[in-house]
Amino acid sequence: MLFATITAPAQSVPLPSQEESLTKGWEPREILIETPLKINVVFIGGTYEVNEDLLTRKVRERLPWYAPYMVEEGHYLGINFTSVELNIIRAPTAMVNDFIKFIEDNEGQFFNPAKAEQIIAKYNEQINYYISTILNEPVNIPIIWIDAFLVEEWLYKNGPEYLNISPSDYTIYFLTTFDEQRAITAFYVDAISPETDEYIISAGMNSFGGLNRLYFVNLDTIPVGQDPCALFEGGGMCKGATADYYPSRWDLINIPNAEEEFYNIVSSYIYEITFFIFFRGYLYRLSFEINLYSYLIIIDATSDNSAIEQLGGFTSSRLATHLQRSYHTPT
Amino acid sequence: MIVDTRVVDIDDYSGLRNTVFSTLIEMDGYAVIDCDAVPSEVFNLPFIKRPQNVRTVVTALFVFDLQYSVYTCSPGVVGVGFKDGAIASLDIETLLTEGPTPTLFHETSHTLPAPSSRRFTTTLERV
Repeated sequence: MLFATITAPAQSVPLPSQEESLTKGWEPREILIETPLKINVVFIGGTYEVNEDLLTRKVRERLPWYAPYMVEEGHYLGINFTSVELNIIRAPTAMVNDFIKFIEDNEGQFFNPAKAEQIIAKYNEQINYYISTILNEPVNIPIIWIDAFLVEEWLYKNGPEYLNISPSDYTIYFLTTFDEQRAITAFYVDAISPETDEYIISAGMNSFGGLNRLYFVNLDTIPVGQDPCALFEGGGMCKGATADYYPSRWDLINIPNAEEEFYNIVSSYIYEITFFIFFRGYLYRLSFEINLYSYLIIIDATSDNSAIEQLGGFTSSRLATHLQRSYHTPT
Repeated sequence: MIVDTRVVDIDDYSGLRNTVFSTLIEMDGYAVIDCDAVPSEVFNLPFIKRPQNVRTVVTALFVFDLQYSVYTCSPGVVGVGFKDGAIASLDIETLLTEGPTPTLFHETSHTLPAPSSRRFTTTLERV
């Protein structure tokens, strides 16, 4: 009986004989844990109904099970998620209202507003142009730009309380607050470089997250990244932060199978977030090894040695100073 | 932990230079560093010491001034981490805007997790 307990196998695997248990019971196994993967899927804003069964079925079609595998090491990580279980939650009105207030209160807190405004003006045009093309009429929808880190922090702090979920749960938020705001919310991250003092901004994302066990997607905005394959002659439609690859609710307008397509889009996001963010992200833990020799090499491959000229004095202590400064940069 | 920081001229390492430029995959408007050939050249540069019982990782940031952007391994990718280190590429203008520290630190972090041999990529849209 004891042996049977120790070697308790996964379902559908034949039980080993007692002899096998005696000899193989303690052998390392590739899969140590089999468990369902539970994900909270939260919709903030809008009034549409979400069919939990249909969405779960769509996600399971894409991700019937998931056992993370280390390709370069040639083994599994020891866990097999046997099925995906979604907990669909519609955010209560109080949370929707507070979220919208938070967005409006924190609009456009750029480190360098003048430079940022120049850059996002171009994106505002792109987003409105995309929607105009779908609606077949010119539009000028207000676009609220907000720091993606702030949004993640707000959802991490407030989501569990409003929704009665645990902060350690895997949670995906789908934002559809255009219905309430009549404005589009788009995300950016920006910074002042700690060593050059130049302003840096990355803007135009429709989704963000991964610092905590949550990710959020705004289904009402248009990602304005570049398709990395569009540079090829005849290329395009590669995975990238583009409207082609990551559709929004705007793409559902004037199509015959809009409801079916809504579930396709949402299930596709859930699949990608699970696969690329939650597990590539959370199995990845930064750890320092004491016996570590780290070479940081800048290889000047310019034609006139301009990197050496500019960075000749780049030393470990200078690097440490810049890192220190970057931690002290106000957020 | 020891951190050794260097700025080197690719012309001083002819093997590396030949490998980088002869395998550079040039596309219409950009180029990609070949990650089959270049990492092993970088991780075995002659000045790299590998003391016993010490894990040595190498993070190399290539700086180019070509007429187009140079990515690492795949289009749109700034840097990639491998088991023995990481490589990344920037153009000189971006380097002078951002400085090398964020990229070097970020890419190095991809080499530190245990188990360490997974390969991660970073895609950034630089504005």
